[in-house]
Amino acid sequence: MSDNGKSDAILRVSHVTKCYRGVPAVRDVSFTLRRGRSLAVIGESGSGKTTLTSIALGLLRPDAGSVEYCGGAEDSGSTSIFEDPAALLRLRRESGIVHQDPFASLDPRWSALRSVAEPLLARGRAQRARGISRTEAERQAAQALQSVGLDPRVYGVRLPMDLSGGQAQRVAIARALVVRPRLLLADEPMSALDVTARLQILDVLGALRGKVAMLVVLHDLGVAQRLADDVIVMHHGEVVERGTVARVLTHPHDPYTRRLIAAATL
Amino acid sequence: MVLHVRNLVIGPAHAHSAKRRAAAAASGAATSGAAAPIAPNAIVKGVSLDIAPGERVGLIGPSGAGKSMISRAILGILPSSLESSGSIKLGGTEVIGAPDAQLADLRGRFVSAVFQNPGSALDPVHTIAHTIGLPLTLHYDVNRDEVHDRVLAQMDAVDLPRSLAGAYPHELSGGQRQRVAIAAALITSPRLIIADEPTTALDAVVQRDVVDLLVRLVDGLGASLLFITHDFVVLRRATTRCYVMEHGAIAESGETEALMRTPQTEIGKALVNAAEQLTLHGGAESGDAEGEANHE
Repeated sequence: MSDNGKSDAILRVSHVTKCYRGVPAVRDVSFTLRRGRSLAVIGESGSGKTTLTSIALGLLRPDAGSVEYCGGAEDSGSTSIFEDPAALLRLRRESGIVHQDPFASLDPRWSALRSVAEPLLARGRAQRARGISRTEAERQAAQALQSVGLDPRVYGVRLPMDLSGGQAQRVAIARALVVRPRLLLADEPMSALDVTARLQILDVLGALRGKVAMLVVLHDLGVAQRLADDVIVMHHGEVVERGTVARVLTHPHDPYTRRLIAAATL
Repeated sequence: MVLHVRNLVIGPAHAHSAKRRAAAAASGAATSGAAAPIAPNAIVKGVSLDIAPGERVGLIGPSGAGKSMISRAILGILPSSLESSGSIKLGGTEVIGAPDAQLADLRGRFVSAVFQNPGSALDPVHTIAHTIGLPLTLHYDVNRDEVHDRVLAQMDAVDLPRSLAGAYPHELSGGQRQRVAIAAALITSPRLIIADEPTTALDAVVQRDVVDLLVRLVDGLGASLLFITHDFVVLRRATTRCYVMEHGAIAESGETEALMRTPQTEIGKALVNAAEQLTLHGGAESGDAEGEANHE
Protein backbone atom coordinates (compact mmCIF):
# COMPACT_ATOMS: atom_id res chain seq x y z
CA MET A 1 0.00 0.00 0.00
CA SER A 2 1.45 3.33 -0.93
CA ASP A 3 0.79 6.16 1.41
CA ASN A 4 2.90 8.79 -0.18
CA GLY A 5 0.30 11.43 -0.81
CA LYS A 6 -3.33 11.96 -1.55
CA SER A 7 -3.25 10.87 -5.19
CA ASP A 8 -4.36 7.28 -4.54
CA ALA A 9 -7.30 8.25 -2.32
CA ILE A 10 -10.69 7.52 -3.87
CA LEU A 11 -13.07 8.26 -1.04
CA ARG A 12 -12.28 10.30 2.05
CA VAL A 13 -14.78 10.27 4.92
CA SER A 14 -13.90 12.83 7.59
CA HIS A 15 -15.31 13.20 11.11
CA VAL A 16 -18.79 12.04 10.15
CA THR A 17 -21.55 12.09 12.77
CA LYS A 18 -25.19 11.11 12.27
CA CYS A 19 -27.95 11.06 14.91
CA TYR A 20 -31.46 9.60 14.81
CA ARG A 21 -33.83 11.41 17.19
CA GLY A 22 -30.84 12.77 19.05
CA VAL A 23 -29.18 9.36 19.47
CA PRO A 24 -25.86 9.12 17.62
CA ALA A 25 -25.75 6.18 15.18
CA VAL A 26 -22.31 7.18 13.90
CA ARG A 27 -19.98 9.40 15.91
CA ASP A 28 -16.90 11.19 14.54
CA VAL A 29 -15.86 8.45 12.10
CA SER A 30 -13.12 8.96 9.52
CA PHE A 31 -11.51 6.69 6.94
CA THR A 32 -9.92 6.86 3.53
CA LEU A 33 -10.48 4.28 0.83
CA ARG A 34 -7.53 4.02 -1.53
CA ARG A 35 -7.06 2.71 -5.04
CA GLY A 36 -6.65 -1.05 -5.13
CA ARG A 37 -7.24 -1.44 -1.38
CA SER A 38 -10.05 -3.26 0.30
CA LEU A 39 -11.46 -1.88 3.54
CA ALA A 40 -13.76 -3.91 5.80
CA VAL A 41 -16.17 -2.19 8.17
CA ILE A 42 -16.96 -4.65 10.95
CA GLY A 43 -19.43 -4.46 13.80
CA GLU A 44 -22.62 -5.93 15.21
CA SER A 45 -26.16 -4.95 14.21
CA GLY A 46 -26.85 -1.39 15.28
CA SER A 47 -23.17 -0.45 15.40
CA GLY A 48 -23.64 2.12 12.63
CA LYS A 49 -22.11 0.22 9.69
CA THR A 50 -24.97 0.71 7.26
CA THR A 51 -25.50 4.35 8.29
CA LEU A 52 -21.81 4.95 7.66
CA THR A 53 -21.79 3.36 4.20
CA SER A 54 -25.02 5.16 3.26
CA ILE A 55 -23.31 8.43 4.11
CA ALA A 56 -20.17 7.39 2.21
CA LEU A 57 -22.25 6.88 -0.94
CA GLY A 58 -24.19 10.11 -0.49
CA LEU A 59 -27.47 8.31 0.20
CA LEU A 60 -27.72 9.91 3.64
CA ARG A 61 -26.59 13.38 4.70
CA PRO A 62 -24.51 13.46 7.92
CA ASP A 63 -25.18 15.93 10.73
CA ALA A 64 -21.50 16.80 10.77
CA GLY A 65 -18.40 15.90 8.79
CA SER A 66 -17.70 15.54 5.09
CA VAL A 67 -17.27 12.98 2.31
CA GLU A 68 -14.93 13.72 -0.57
CA TYR A 69 -14.86 11.76 -3.82
CA CYS A 70 -11.43 12.08 -5.34
CA GLY A 71 -10.61 11.92 -9.03
CA GLY A 72 -12.68 9.89 -11.41
CA ALA A 73 -13.32 10.04 -15.13
CA GLU A 74 -14.26 13.70 -15.44
CA ASP A 75 -12.39 15.34 -12.62
CA SER A 76 -8.92 15.09 -11.22
CA GLY A 77 -9.65 16.99 -8.05
CA SER A 78 -11.37 16.09 -4.81
CA THR A 79 -14.81 17.46 -4.04
CA SER A 80 -17.34 17.17 -1.25
CA ILE A 81 -20.24 15.08 -2.48
CA PHE A 82 -22.70 16.94 -0.28
CA GLU A 83 -21.69 20.36 -1.62
CA ASP A 84 -21.03 19.54 -5.27
CA PRO A 85 -23.80 17.61 -7.09
CA ALA A 86 -21.39 16.84 -9.94
CA ALA A 87 -19.06 15.04 -7.52
CA LEU A 88 -21.99 13.03 -6.12
CA LEU A 89 -23.06 12.08 -9.64
CA ARG A 90 -19.49 10.97 -10.49
CA LEU A 91 -19.32 8.88 -7.32
CA ARG A 92 -22.59 7.11 -8.10
CA ARG A 93 -21.71 6.51 -11.76
CA GLU A 94 -18.35 5.07 -10.82
CA SER A 95 -19.55 2.89 -7.93
CA GLY A 96 -21.00 -0.59 -7.91
CA ILE A 97 -23.15 -1.76 -5.01
CA VAL A 98 -23.90 -5.30 -3.80
CA HIS A 99 -26.66 -5.62 -1.21
CA GLN A 100 -27.21 -8.25 1.47
CA ASP A 101 -30.18 -10.11 -0.01
CA PRO A 102 -29.86 -10.79 -3.75
CA PHE A 103 -33.50 -11.80 -4.07
CA ALA A 104 -34.59 -8.44 -2.69
CA SER A 105 -32.20 -6.49 -4.90
CA LEU A 106 -32.81 -8.27 -8.24
CA ASP A 107 -36.00 -7.52 -10.17
CA PRO A 108 -37.98 -10.80 -10.06
CA ARG A 109 -39.33 -10.20 -13.61
CA TRP A 110 -35.95 -9.76 -15.27
CA SER A 111 -33.56 -12.40 -16.56
CA ALA A 112 -30.01 -12.41 -15.18
CA LEU A 113 -28.71 -10.99 -18.47
CA ARG A 114 -31.19 -8.12 -18.44
CA SER A 115 -30.47 -7.31 -14.78
CA VAL A 116 -26.76 -7.09 -15.52
CA ALA A 117 -27.22 -5.12 -18.76
CA GLU A 118 -29.58 -2.58 -17.17
CA PRO A 119 -26.94 -0.31 -15.52
CA LEU A 120 -25.26 0.11 -18.92
CA LEU A 121 -28.56 0.90 -20.61
CA ALA A 122 -29.55 3.28 -17.80
CA ARG A 123 -26.27 5.08 -18.17
CA GLY A 124 -26.88 5.26 -21.91
CA ARG A 125 -30.34 6.75 -21.35
CA ALA A 126 -28.84 9.34 -19.02
CA GLN A 127 -26.09 10.27 -21.46
CA ARG A 128 -28.30 9.96 -24.57
CA ALA A 129 -25.91 10.55 -27.49
CA ARG A 130 -23.17 8.47 -25.91
CA GLY A 131 -25.44 5.55 -25.02
CA ILE A 132 -24.65 2.01 -26.16
CA SER A 133 -26.91 -0.37 -28.06
CA ARG A 134 -28.83 -3.15 -26.30
CA THR A 135 -26.76 -5.71 -28.21
CA GLU A 136 -23.53 -4.21 -26.94
CA ALA A 137 -24.92 -3.90 -23.39
CA GLU A 138 -25.90 -7.59 -23.44
CA ARG A 139 -22.49 -8.56 -24.80
CA GLN A 140 -20.80 -6.76 -21.89
CA ALA A 141 -23.36 -8.22 -19.46
CA ALA A 142 -22.54 -11.72 -20.72
CA GLN A 143 -18.85 -11.02 -20.08
CA ALA A 144 -19.65 -9.82 -16.57
CA LEU A 145 -21.66 -12.99 -15.85
CA GLN A 146 -18.77 -15.08 -17.13
CA SER A 147 -16.38 -13.18 -14.85
CA VAL A 148 -18.34 -14.28 -11.78
CA GLY A 149 -18.39 -17.91 -12.90
CA LEU A 150 -21.86 -18.02 -14.47
CA ASP A 151 -22.10 -19.27 -18.06
CA PRO A 152 -24.30 -16.61 -19.74
CA ARG A 153 -25.73 -19.20 -22.16
CA VAL A 154 -27.06 -21.19 -19.19
CA TYR A 155 -27.80 -18.56 -16.58
CA GLY A 156 -28.41 -15.46 -18.71
CA VAL A 157 -32.03 -16.41 -19.41
CA ARG A 158 -32.88 -17.39 -15.84
CA LEU A 159 -35.13 -15.36 -13.55
CA PRO A 160 -34.03 -14.85 -9.92
CA MET A 161 -36.52 -17.53 -8.79
CA ASP A 162 -34.62 -20.06 -10.90
CA LEU A 163 -31.28 -19.25 -9.23
CA SER A 164 -29.80 -20.47 -5.95
CA GLY A 165 -28.81 -17.85 -3.36
CA GLY A 166 -25.16 -18.01 -4.37
CA GLN A 167 -25.98 -17.75 -8.09
CA ALA A 168 -28.31 -14.78 -7.48
CA GLN A 169 -25.68 -12.96 -5.47
CA ARG A 170 -23.14 -13.57 -8.25
CA VAL A 171 -25.60 -12.00 -10.70
CA ALA A 172 -25.82 -9.00 -8.35
CA ILE A 173 -22.01 -8.77 -8.27
CA ALA A 174 -21.88 -8.98 -12.08
CA ARG A 175 -24.40 -6.13 -12.21
CA ALA A 176 -22.18 -4.05 -9.93
CA LEU A 177 -19.05 -4.83 -11.98
CA VAL A 178 -20.49 -4.31 -15.46
CA VAL A 179 -19.99 -0.53 -15.26
CA ARG A 180 -16.29 -1.09 -14.40
CA PRO A 181 -16.56 0.77 -11.09
CA ARG A 182 -13.64 2.48 -9.34
CA LEU A 183 -15.31 1.64 -6.05
CA LEU A 184 -17.26 -1.49 -5.10
CA LEU A 185 -19.43 -1.37 -1.99
CA ALA A 186 -20.67 -4.69 -0.65
CA ASP A 187 -23.05 -4.44 2.32
CA GLU A 188 -23.02 -7.80 4.17
CA PRO A 189 -22.87 -9.65 0.82
CA MET A 190 -22.90 -13.11 2.42
CA SER A 191 -25.15 -12.78 5.45
CA ALA A 192 -28.31 -14.00 3.71
CA LEU A 193 -26.62 -17.08 2.22
CA ASP A 194 -25.74 -20.54 3.49
CA VAL A 195 -22.09 -21.43 4.03
CA THR A 196 -21.54 -23.13 0.67
CA ALA A 197 -22.94 -20.08 -1.16
CA ARG A 198 -20.90 -17.80 1.11
CA LEU A 199 -17.78 -19.56 -0.05
CA GLN A 200 -18.70 -18.95 -3.70
CA ILE A 201 -19.13 -15.22 -3.02
CA LEU A 202 -15.92 -15.12 -1.02
CA ASP A 203 -14.06 -16.56 -4.02
CA VAL A 204 -15.64 -14.07 -6.45
CA LEU A 205 -15.00 -11.02 -4.26
CA GLY A 206 -11.56 -12.31 -3.27
CA ALA A 207 -10.59 -12.43 -6.96
CA LEU A 208 -11.41 -8.71 -7.23
CA ARG A 209 -9.05 -7.80 -4.41
CA GLY A 210 -6.42 -5.39 -5.67
CA LYS A 211 -8.28 -4.75 -8.92
CA VAL A 212 -10.97 -2.43 -7.59
CA ALA A 213 -11.22 -0.41 -4.38
CA MET A 214 -13.64 -2.27 -2.11
CA LEU A 215 -15.63 -1.14 0.90
CA VAL A 216 -17.07 -4.29 2.46
CA VAL A 217 -19.46 -4.27 5.39
CA LEU A 218 -19.16 -7.47 7.43
CA HIS A 219 -19.84 -8.78 10.90
CA ASP A 220 -17.27 -11.52 10.73
CA LEU A 221 -13.50 -11.21 10.98
CA GLY A 222 -12.99 -14.62 9.36
CA VAL A 223 -14.36 -13.24 6.10
CA ALA A 224 -12.46 -9.96 6.53
CA GLN A 225 -9.24 -11.95 6.71
CA ARG A 226 -9.91 -13.28 3.21
CA LEU A 227 -11.33 -10.14 1.64
CA ALA A 228 -9.80 -7.01 3.12
CA ASP A 229 -6.45 -5.29 3.50
CA ASP A 230 -7.62 -2.85 6.15
CA VAL A 231 -10.36 -2.91 8.75
CA ILE A 232 -12.25 -0.55 11.00
CA VAL A 233 -14.17 -2.13 13.88
CA MET A 234 -17.30 -0.24 14.95
CA HIS A 235 -19.08 -0.55 18.27
CA HIS A 236 -22.01 1.63 19.32
CA GLY A 237 -21.40 4.05 16.42
CA GLU A 238 -17.73 4.64 17.09
CA VAL A 239 -14.55 3.22 15.64
CA VAL A 240 -12.92 1.20 18.42
CA GLU A 241 -10.12 -0.32 16.35
CA ARG A 242 -8.48 0.35 12.98
CA GLY A 243 -5.49 -0.91 11.07
CA THR A 244 -4.44 -3.54 8.60
CA VAL A 245 -6.40 -6.77 8.98
CA ALA A 246 -3.17 -8.56 9.78
CA ARG A 247 -2.29 -6.18 12.62
CA VAL A 248 -5.78 -6.14 14.09
CA LEU A 249 -5.92 -9.94 14.11
CA THR A 250 -2.53 -10.40 15.73
CA HIS A 251 -2.53 -7.42 18.10
CA PRO A 252 -6.08 -6.32 18.85
CA HIS A 253 -6.27 -3.37 21.25
CA ASP A 254 -9.98 -3.28 22.00
CA PRO A 255 -11.85 -5.89 24.10
CA TYR A 256 -14.69 -5.98 21.57
CA THR A 257 -12.23 -6.82 18.78
CA ARG A 258 -10.86 -9.64 20.91
CA ARG A 259 -14.39 -11.03 21.29
CA LEU A 260 -14.90 -10.80 17.52
CA ILE A 261 -11.69 -12.76 16.97
CA ALA A 262 -12.78 -15.45 19.46
CA ALA A 263 -16.17 -15.71 17.77
CA ALA A 264 -14.61 -16.16 14.32
CA THR A 265 -12.32 -19.02 15.32
CA LEU A 266 -13.32 -22.57 14.41
CA MET B 1 -36.17 -42.32 22.37
CA VAL B 2 -37.28 -38.70 22.73
CA LEU B 3 -37.61 -38.46 18.95
CA HIS B 4 -37.93 -41.39 16.58
CA VAL B 5 -38.41 -40.60 12.88
CA ARG B 6 -38.76 -43.33 10.26
CA ASN B 7 -39.07 -43.00 6.49
CA LEU B 8 -40.37 -39.45 6.68
CA VAL B 9 -41.53 -38.19 3.30
CA ILE B 10 -42.78 -34.63 2.84
CA GLY B 11 -44.18 -33.45 -0.46
CA PRO B 12 -46.88 -31.38 -2.11
CA ALA B 13 -50.38 -32.27 -0.96
CA HIS B 14 -52.47 -33.32 -3.94
CA ALA B 15 -54.83 -36.05 -5.02
CA HIS B 16 -52.10 -38.25 -6.43
CA SER B 17 -50.17 -38.37 -3.19
CA ALA B 18 -53.43 -38.83 -1.25
CA LYS B 19 -54.06 -41.97 -3.29
CA ARG B 20 -50.51 -43.07 -2.66
CA ARG B 21 -50.98 -42.50 1.08
CA ALA B 22 -54.29 -44.37 1.06
CA ALA B 23 -52.59 -47.29 -0.66
CA ALA B 24 -49.77 -47.20 1.86
CA ALA B 25 -52.26 -47.05 4.74
CA ALA B 26 -54.14 -50.02 3.32
CA SER B 27 -50.92 -52.00 3.34
CA GLY B 28 -50.10 -50.85 6.87
CA ALA B 29 -47.11 -48.73 5.81
CA ALA B 30 -48.42 -45.46 7.22
CA THR B 31 -48.62 -46.77 10.74
CA SER B 32 -45.63 -49.08 10.73
CA GLY B 33 -43.30 -46.47 9.25
CA ALA B 34 -42.33 -48.84 6.44
CA ALA B 35 -41.06 -47.24 3.25
CA ALA B 36 -43.74 -45.89 0.93
CA PRO B 37 -43.15 -44.90 -2.70
CA ILE B 38 -41.48 -41.48 -2.86
CA ALA B 39 -42.77 -38.94 -5.38
CA PRO B 40 -40.05 -37.29 -7.50
CA ASN B 41 -41.12 -33.82 -6.32
CA ALA B 42 -40.92 -34.72 -2.61
CA ILE B 43 -39.02 -32.21 -0.44
CA VAL B 44 -38.01 -34.79 2.17
CA LYS B 45 -37.33 -38.25 0.80
CA GLY B 46 -37.43 -41.01 3.39
CA VAL B 47 -35.54 -39.53 6.34
CA SER B 48 -34.95 -41.56 9.51
CA LEU B 49 -33.34 -40.16 12.65
CA ASP B 50 -33.32 -40.67 16.41
CA ILE B 51 -32.59 -38.51 19.43
CA ALA B 52 -32.04 -40.13 22.84
CA PRO B 53 -32.88 -38.44 26.17
CA GLY B 54 -30.33 -35.73 27.01
CA GLU B 55 -28.70 -35.91 23.60
CA ARG B 56 -27.84 -32.83 21.49
CA VAL B 57 -28.14 -33.69 17.80
CA GLY B 58 -27.57 -31.54 14.71
CA LEU B 59 -29.25 -31.49 11.33
CA ILE B 60 -26.97 -29.71 8.87
CA GLY B 61 -27.27 -29.01 5.16
CA PRO B 62 -27.39 -26.25 2.56
CA SER B 63 -30.47 -24.10 1.92
CA GLY B 64 -33.27 -26.12 0.36
CA ALA B 65 -32.09 -29.47 1.75
CA GLY B 66 -35.38 -29.93 3.64
CA LYS B 67 -34.12 -29.32 7.20
CA SER B 68 -36.78 -26.82 8.23
CA MET B 69 -39.58 -28.92 6.77
CA ILE B 70 -38.49 -31.79 9.00
CA SER B 71 -38.62 -29.54 12.06
CA ARG B 72 -42.07 -28.30 11.07
CA ALA B 73 -43.30 -31.84 10.52
CA ILE B 74 -42.05 -32.83 13.99
CA LEU B 75 -43.93 -29.88 15.47
CA GLY B 76 -47.03 -30.69 13.40
CA ILE B 77 -47.01 -27.29 11.72
CA LEU B 78 -46.36 -28.12 8.08
CA PRO B 79 -47.93 -25.67 5.60
CA SER B 80 -51.31 -26.92 4.33
CA SER B 81 -49.80 -27.21 0.85
CA LEU B 82 -47.54 -30.02 2.10
CA GLU B 83 -48.22 -33.39 3.61
CA SER B 84 -46.10 -35.98 5.35
CA SER B 85 -45.98 -39.76 5.51
CA GLY B 86 -43.90 -42.25 7.45
CA SER B 87 -43.61 -42.00 11.21
CA ILE B 88 -42.60 -39.30 13.73
CA LYS B 89 -42.79 -40.36 17.35
CA LEU B 90 -42.32 -37.83 20.14
CA GLY B 91 -41.77 -39.76 23.34
CA GLY B 92 -43.75 -42.64 21.88
CA THR B 93 -46.68 -40.53 20.59
CA GLU B 94 -47.22 -40.59 16.82
CA VAL B 95 -47.33 -37.05 15.37
CA ILE B 96 -48.38 -37.80 11.79
CA GLY B 97 -52.15 -37.91 11.66
CA ALA B 98 -52.55 -36.85 15.32
CA PRO B 99 -55.50 -34.55 16.13
CA ASP B 100 -54.74 -30.82 16.55
CA ALA B 101 -55.53 -30.83 20.29
CA GLN B 102 -53.02 -33.60 20.91
CA LEU B 103 -50.40 -31.81 18.82
CA ALA B 104 -50.99 -28.56 20.73
CA ASP B 105 -50.51 -30.39 24.02
CA LEU B 106 -47.30 -32.02 22.77
CA ARG B 107 -45.98 -28.63 21.64
CA GLY B 108 -46.64 -27.08 25.02
CA ARG B 109 -45.36 -29.83 27.29
CA PHE B 110 -43.05 -32.18 25.40
CA VAL B 111 -41.45 -30.22 22.57
CA SER B 112 -40.79 -26.54 21.95
CA ALA B 113 -38.99 -24.54 19.31
CA VAL B 114 -36.71 -21.56 18.77
CA PHE B 115 -36.77 -20.15 15.24
CA GLN B 116 -34.38 -18.19 13.08
CA ASN B 117 -35.80 -14.70 13.23
CA PRO B 118 -36.74 -13.64 16.76
CA GLY B 119 -38.09 -10.37 15.36
CA SER B 120 -40.95 -12.17 13.66
CA ALA B 121 -41.26 -15.02 16.19
CA LEU B 122 -42.22 -12.69 19.07
CA ASP B 123 -45.63 -11.04 19.25
CA PRO B 124 -45.00 -7.28 18.88
CA VAL B 125 -47.99 -6.26 21.06
CA HIS B 126 -47.06 -8.37 24.08
CA THR B 127 -44.49 -7.53 26.73
CA ILE B 128 -41.46 -9.71 27.20
CA ALA B 129 -42.84 -11.09 30.49
CA HIS B 130 -46.15 -11.99 28.83
CA THR B 131 -44.38 -13.75 25.94
CA ILE B 132 -42.14 -15.77 28.22
CA GLY B 133 -44.98 -16.78 30.54
CA LEU B 134 -47.55 -17.60 27.83
CA PRO B 135 -46.63 -21.32 27.32
CA LEU B 136 -46.99 -21.82 31.07
CA THR B 137 -50.44 -20.23 31.26
CA LEU B 138 -51.63 -22.07 28.14
CA HIS B 139 -50.54 -25.55 29.14
CA TYR B 140 -50.47 -25.66 32.94
CA ASP B 141 -52.83 -24.68 35.73
CA VAL B 142 -50.73 -22.09 37.53
CA ASN B 143 -51.71 -18.86 39.25
CA ARG B 144 -50.48 -15.40 38.25
CA ASP B 145 -47.99 -15.08 41.08
CA GLU B 146 -46.36 -18.35 40.20
CA VAL B 147 -46.18 -17.40 36.53
CA HIS B 148 -44.63 -14.07 37.52
CA ASP B 149 -42.00 -15.78 39.67
CA ARG B 150 -41.21 -18.37 37.00
CA VAL B 151 -40.89 -15.66 34.34
CA LEU B 152 -38.41 -13.66 36.41
CA ALA B 153 -36.42 -16.82 37.18
CA GLN B 154 -36.39 -17.65 33.49
CA MET B 155 -35.19 -14.13 32.63
CA ASP B 156 -32.35 -14.61 35.10
CA ALA B 157 -31.51 -17.95 33.49
CA VAL B 158 -31.14 -16.41 30.02
CA ASP B 159 -29.25 -13.37 31.35
CA LEU B 160 -31.97 -10.85 30.57
CA PRO B 161 -32.18 -7.97 33.06
CA ARG B 162 -35.47 -8.05 35.01
CA SER B 163 -35.96 -4.39 34.09
CA LEU B 164 -36.87 -5.59 30.57
CA ALA B 165 -39.93 -7.52 31.79
CA GLY B 166 -42.28 -4.72 30.69
CA ALA B 167 -40.45 -3.99 27.44
CA TYR B 168 -41.72 -4.86 23.95
CA PRO B 169 -39.76 -6.81 21.31
CA HIS B 170 -38.92 -3.72 19.23
CA GLU B 171 -37.08 -2.25 22.22
CA LEU B 172 -34.64 -5.18 22.36
CA SER B 173 -31.54 -6.08 20.35
CA GLY B 174 -31.54 -9.19 18.15
CA GLY B 175 -29.58 -11.15 20.74
CA GLN B 176 -31.95 -10.12 23.55
CA ARG B 177 -34.98 -11.10 21.45
CA GLN B 178 -33.51 -14.54 20.86
CA ARG B 179 -32.94 -14.89 24.62
CA VAL B 180 -36.64 -14.12 25.10
CA ALA B 181 -37.53 -16.83 22.57
CA ILE B 182 -35.27 -19.30 24.38
CA ALA B 183 -36.78 -18.38 27.76
CA ALA B 184 -40.30 -18.93 26.41
CA ALA B 185 -39.30 -22.22 24.78
CA LEU B 186 -37.82 -23.61 27.98
CA ILE B 187 -40.24 -22.35 30.62
CA THR B 188 -42.38 -25.50 30.45
CA SER B 189 -39.29 -27.72 30.83
CA PRO B 190 -39.89 -29.62 27.56
CA ARG B 191 -38.03 -32.86 26.86
CA LEU B 192 -37.03 -31.80 23.32
CA ILE B 193 -36.08 -28.34 22.03
CA ILE B 194 -35.92 -27.79 18.30
CA ALA B 195 -33.64 -24.87 17.42
CA ASP B 196 -34.07 -24.04 13.72
CA GLU B 197 -31.18 -21.80 12.63
CA PRO B 198 -31.52 -19.85 15.90
CA THR B 199 -28.34 -17.84 15.37
CA THR B 200 -28.31 -17.23 11.62
CA ALA B 201 -29.81 -13.75 11.96
CA LEU B 202 -27.35 -12.76 14.70
CA ASP B 203 -23.87 -11.28 14.66
CA ALA B 204 -20.81 -13.41 15.26
CA VAL B 205 -20.25 -12.46 18.90
CA VAL B 206 -23.94 -12.68 19.84
CA GLN B 207 -24.21 -15.95 17.90
CA ARG B 208 -21.64 -17.65 20.09
CA ASP B 209 -23.22 -16.35 23.31
CA VAL B 210 -26.69 -17.58 22.29
CA VAL B 211 -25.44 -21.07 21.33
CA ASP B 212 -23.55 -21.41 24.60
CA LEU B 213 -26.62 -20.27 26.54
CA LEU B 214 -28.88 -22.73 24.75
CA VAL B 215 -26.51 -25.63 25.39
CA ARG B 216 -26.14 -24.72 29.08
CA LEU B 217 -29.91 -24.50 29.62
CA VAL B 218 -30.74 -27.67 27.66
CA ASP B 219 -28.12 -29.62 29.58
CA GLY B 220 -29.36 -28.10 32.84
CA LEU B 221 -32.86 -29.36 32.11
CA GLY B 222 -31.61 -32.77 31.03
CA ALA B 223 -33.56 -32.19 27.81
CA SER B 224 -32.65 -33.13 24.23
CA LEU B 225 -31.82 -30.71 21.43
CA LEU B 226 -32.34 -30.87 17.68
CA PHE B 227 -30.19 -28.08 16.29
CA ILE B 228 -30.70 -27.15 12.64
CA THR B 229 -28.05 -25.12 10.82
CA HIS B 230 -25.98 -24.82 7.65
CA ASP B 231 -22.83 -23.96 9.55
CA PHE B 232 -20.47 -26.50 11.14
CA VAL B 233 -18.87 -23.76 13.27
CA VAL B 234 -22.14 -23.35 15.15
CA LEU B 235 -22.99 -27.05 15.03
CA ARG B 236 -19.72 -28.02 16.67
CA ARG B 237 -20.50 -25.88 19.73
CA ALA B 238 -24.10 -27.03 19.95
CA THR B 239 -24.10 -30.78 19.31
CA THR B 240 -22.30 -34.05 19.86
CA ARG B 241 -23.84 -35.97 16.97
CA CYS B 242 -25.26 -34.87 13.63
CA TYR B 243 -27.01 -35.80 10.40
CA VAL B 244 -25.89 -34.20 7.12
CA MET B 245 -28.70 -33.56 4.64
CA GLU B 246 -28.79 -32.86 0.93
CA HIS B 247 -31.68 -32.85 -1.55
CA GLY B 248 -34.16 -34.06 1.05
CA ALA B 249 -32.20 -37.10 2.22
CA ILE B 250 -29.62 -37.94 4.89
CA ALA B 251 -26.22 -38.09 3.20
CA GLU B 252 -24.24 -39.17 6.26
CA SER B 253 -24.32 -39.08 10.04
CA GLY B 254 -22.01 -39.54 13.00
CA GLU B 255 -20.31 -37.87 15.94
CA THR B 256 -19.96 -34.16 15.08
CA GLU B 257 -16.23 -33.93 15.82
CA ALA B 258 -15.40 -37.15 13.93
CA LEU B 259 -17.55 -36.17 10.97
CA MET B 260 -15.82 -32.79 10.77
CA ARG B 261 -12.42 -34.50 10.76
CA THR B 262 -13.28 -37.05 8.07
CA PRO B 263 -16.47 -36.25 6.16
CA GLN B 264 -17.38 -39.12 3.84
CA THR B 265 -19.70 -37.46 1.33
CA GLU B 266 -19.26 -34.59 -1.12
CA ILE B 267 -21.79 -32.43 0.72
CA GLY B 268 -20.16 -33.21 4.07
CA LYS B 269 -16.77 -32.21 2.66
CA ALA B 270 -18.20 -29.03 1.11
CA LEU B 271 -19.82 -27.94 4.40
CA VAL B 272 -16.71 -28.66 6.46
CA ASN B 273 -14.51 -26.90 3.90
CA ALA B 274 -16.80 -23.85 3.95
CA ALA B 275 -16.62 -23.71 7.76
CA GLU B 276 -12.82 -23.83 7.62
CA GLN B 277 -12.56 -21.21 4.87
CA LEU B 278 -14.89 -18.78 6.61
CA THR B 279 -13.21 -18.83 9.99
CA LEU B 280 -9.95 -17.49 11.36
CA HIS B 281 -7.01 -19.82 11.66
CA GLY B 282 -4.24 -18.80 14.00
CA GLY B 283 -4.28 -15.08 13.33
CA ALA B 284 -3.35 -13.17 10.21
CA GLU B 285 -2.15 -14.74 7.00
CA SER B 286 -1.89 -11.82 4.65
CA GLY B 287 -0.86 -8.22 4.48
CA ASP B 288 1.80 -6.36 6.38
CA ALA B 289 1.30 -7.10 10.05
CA GLU B 290 3.34 -4.15 11.21
CA GLY B 291 1.83 -1.49 9.01
CA GLU B 292 -1.11 0.66 9.97
CA ALA B 293 -3.94 1.22 7.55
CA ASN B 294 -4.18 4.55 5.86
CA HIS B 295 -7.07 5.78 7.90
CA GLU B 296 -7.37 9.21 9.24
